[in-house]
Amino acid sequence: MQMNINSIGLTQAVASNRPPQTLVAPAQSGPAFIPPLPLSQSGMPTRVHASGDRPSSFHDSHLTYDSLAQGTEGAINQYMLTQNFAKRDEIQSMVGIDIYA
Amino acid sequence: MPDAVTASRYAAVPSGVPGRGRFILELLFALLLTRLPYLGVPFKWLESFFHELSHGLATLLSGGIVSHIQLFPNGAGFCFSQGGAPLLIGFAGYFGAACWGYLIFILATWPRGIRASFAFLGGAVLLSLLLWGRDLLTIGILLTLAGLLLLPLRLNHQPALLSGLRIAALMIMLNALASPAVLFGLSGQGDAVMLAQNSWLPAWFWVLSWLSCSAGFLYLAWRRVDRASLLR
Repeated sequence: MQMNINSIGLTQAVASNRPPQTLVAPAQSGPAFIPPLPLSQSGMPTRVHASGDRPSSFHDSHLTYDSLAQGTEGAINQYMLTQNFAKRDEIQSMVGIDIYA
Repeated sequence: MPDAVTASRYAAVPSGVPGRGRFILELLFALLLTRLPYLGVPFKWLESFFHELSHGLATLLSGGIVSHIQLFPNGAGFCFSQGGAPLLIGFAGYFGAACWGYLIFILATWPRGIRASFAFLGGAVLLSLLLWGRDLLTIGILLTLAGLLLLPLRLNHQPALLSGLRIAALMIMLNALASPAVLFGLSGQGDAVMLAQNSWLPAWFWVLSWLSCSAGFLYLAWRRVDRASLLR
């Protein structure tokens, strides 16, 4: 069965799998995208202080965060930026296209 | 003058199989390259390509249709398809990447066929580009990979070609080992969750199976080297 897979609807739906800062929330309930998890929630160790608890050297802690982030951001953030299970499910139900990551 | 048994043993050992020490050095070098910020990126694309290619081949084998694949600079990718067996297609990605890595390692121990191996792999990338590449980014990444695999054909130094392809194969297997581990930290996303929803087996089972397969293929590569060393 020939399907116009590159229809505008699919293109827009697939486009929502781009990094979260380019996405627009849809009208229906439920999140349009899953924002990237902060490192503290992803289980990776972090020395970032909680809000309201500023260290004596805020700049140093920021640098510490950056140096840690360089080692930990790669794998999980890569996957988080492009994985959107809810949107993928929507695409599948809309046009019958399966998407495997 | 060696006897017939010894001669037959030596004849059975492909001369492209490295020694144990060289294999460890190449593995460490491959591990180092995967950690480098810019140099390791094309090899991550290579693993991602074989991952999506495996999804595509599993789709075709199970009677489905592949629409197109998408590759991203951060090493992620999608395979858009219709029909086929979801369990087979979903499992094929991570498993296939490790499998391809081992296959390429085997090809890299075949001195006479090393140029044909590079040509075959480069041709596979170009064919995928023609059949399944749709957006400019994916086409650009696939062209880069084709260049990575076809440009070495200009070299005449066979040992360098063998070593280079072995290191590439090891990098693919190492990336195939690291990629499923990421899924442990994610909830509600990924092929493992899709497989869990289509079967009675939890997501962690699928992730562990991929990790086991990837580790197994690395072990098979080591075993090939170890056996060749014993026969020498």
